[in-house]
Parts: sequence; C-alpha cells; structure tokens
Amino acid sequence: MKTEDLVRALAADTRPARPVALSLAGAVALATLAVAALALPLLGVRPDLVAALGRPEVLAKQVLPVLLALAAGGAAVRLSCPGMALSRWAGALAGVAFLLGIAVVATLARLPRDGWMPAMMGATSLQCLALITAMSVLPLAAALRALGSGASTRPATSGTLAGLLAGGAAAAVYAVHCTEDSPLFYATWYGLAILLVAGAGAVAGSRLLRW
Amino acid sequence: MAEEEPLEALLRAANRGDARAYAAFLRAITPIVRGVARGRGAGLGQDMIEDIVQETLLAIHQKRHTWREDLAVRPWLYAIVRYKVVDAFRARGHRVHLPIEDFAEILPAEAGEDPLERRDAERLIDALDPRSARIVRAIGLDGASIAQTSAALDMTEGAVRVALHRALKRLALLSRSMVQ
Repeated sequence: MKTEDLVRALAADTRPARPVALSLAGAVALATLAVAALALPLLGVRPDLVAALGRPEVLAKQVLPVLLALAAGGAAVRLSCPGMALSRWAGALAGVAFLLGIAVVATLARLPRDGWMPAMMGATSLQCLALITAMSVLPLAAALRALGSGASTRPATSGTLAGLLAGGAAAAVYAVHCTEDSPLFYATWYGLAILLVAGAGAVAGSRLLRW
Repeated sequence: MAEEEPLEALLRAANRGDARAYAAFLRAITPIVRGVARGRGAGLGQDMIEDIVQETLLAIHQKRHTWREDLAVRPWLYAIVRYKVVDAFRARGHRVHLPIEDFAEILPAEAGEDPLERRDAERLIDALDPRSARIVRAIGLDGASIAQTSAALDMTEGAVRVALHRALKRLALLSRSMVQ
C-alpha cells in the first residue's frame, strides 16, 4: 500500500471521538460512585459526619483527597495531549501536598512529643491502608481505560497520575467512614495507600498507555 | 485551494467530519513526517522509512482528537511524530535521539522515485478479516467513496464507516505489534 492510498483510507474515516477530559471524568466518577455504593453500606458512615466537618482537620481529611484527585486528573488530561506541558497542574499537585504539610506541622506543634506516635498509629491503620488500596482498583482501571484514548508521550507519568486520581477518589470515600481525625494518621496511612496506588498506576501505565 | 490553508483550519474542519479537509491535512503533513523519519534513519532503506511514515500517520489518525483547537497544530504534531518515530526505530532495533528543537529545520521530503508497493503494509492488510481488508483496499487503493463501497459490498454506509474505523484502529495496532 502506498502512503497516498493510506491517506485516502484514513481521510474517509471521519468518525468523531470523545475528548479525553470527558471520558476520564465520566469513567472515574462512575467507578467512584460504584465503590461508594458498595463499600459505605458495609463500612457505615461515621455518625457525626456533618458536625465533624466543622473541624478543620476533619474537613481537610475530606477535601484534600478530592483536591488531589482533581489536580491529578487535570494533569493527566493535559499529558494526554502531546506537546503540552504540565505547568500549573504540577503546581496544583504541589499545592495539595503543601496544604497537607501545614496540617501535619500544625498538629506536631500542638501535640506533646510523646503524643506523636500514638496519633500517627491510630487504631485502624492497616484496615485503612488495605481498604483505600482495594477501593482504588476500580477507579484506577476506569482512569487507565479512559486515558488510553489519549496520546500520552509519557505513559508511566500518566499512569502515576491515574493512580493519584484513583487513590484520592477512594480516600475521599473512605474518609466518610473513618473516625481517625489526626492529620498525623491520615497523612501517613491515606498517603501511603495513595502512593501504593500511584506506584501500581505507574507500572500499569507504562504498559497500557503506550501507543 | 484547501492545500493552502493553515493546518489548524484543516484539522479543525477534519475533526468536525470534513473528509476533504482531512485529506488535505494528511497530505500536508506527510512530507513533514517523512522528512523527520528520513532525517533520523539515514541508514535505513527507503521502504522501511515509508513503513515508519505510515505507522506514524496511523497513530496521528487514531489520536487526532487530542489536538486542542485553541493551540497551534505544529507543536502537537511534532510531539506525536517524535514519539512515534522514536518508537518505530526502537521497535526495529535502532536507538534514536530526537531533540524536539530540530524539527523546525526538518526539510519536508517527498516519497522516493519508485512507487512503493510495500509488502509489509500488504501483509498488514492481509492480517485483517477479509471484509475489512476489502473495505480498506476499495477506499485506499481504488479510491472508492464510502457510498460506492457500501453499494459494492451490500452494506449500509453507516456500517462501512464503522467497519473502516475499526479496520484502521486494528491496522494501527498491527503496525506496532508486527515489527515487535
């Protein structure tokens, strides 16, 4: 087949495609709702949720994972368009980390030194780690699938961002159940779970997001 | 003439379903892609270069909706070409380094003197199911329209469009996996 023949065949195929941003947002939102619908009836919503959200450290536990998911999703969409730099989305991700850092430092300053360790370990650390990781699987699969229609020239980075997006979404759902409110606890265990998912996303992305 | 229009106008119209603008776009970028492939693969045979050009065009086709209409086409195009040409050479056991700044100086290249009847690409088409192969041949090689193809194969035009779309997607996948 001559290149000119190929061009003719390609030009005849004018079926439109959905923008990556739309499919990513739709797919991850759907997957996260499914996970919430499945997990929350089993785990239970914390009884004092509305009142607790008035406390800044609880609000941060609820909102920071959402912000992380939004920033990672925005960055992943940008990366799926060849030739675009991450620029302000990388800044948004750093901003989320910075806010978490403020919460941690404020807690360290407030607590006596021998209170740090118990606050960090909490009582449900392993459950938290395992559940957030498990609840991320479906959103991660949805995110990778949606990003596959994009054209990332950095598949591993895109996979990492998909992992941060999925981990953030799962953590936000888990936070509705979780009553461990110390930033030392959730920075450690939510953070660790999300980083695990990001690592899995990097590995999966470097295989699945090549084109 | 459509060929004189900027790439942005052509691709914008193409992404809205204008087949003539899309053909003009593809014809305008083919020499650019070929120039990059030839510039980097000086030691490779003419036909392997043309294979890489076709592989890259298939990739651009699959990913054409990732261009954002408010941006220039060239940076997007160069990023895709760079990725695919590096990928194609790597799959053939050549390591290449493509500094992106060089693209501005790449000379567009026309196809070689000899019409390239590529056995590899024929092999690709043969790997499709018979009906998809017939559709790609009819439209690509014989220059038939969607309407003519649908009449010849006794399919609706919509079915031809869907089949062509799937066949090209499959060709893009095959072109990657067959050299690897």
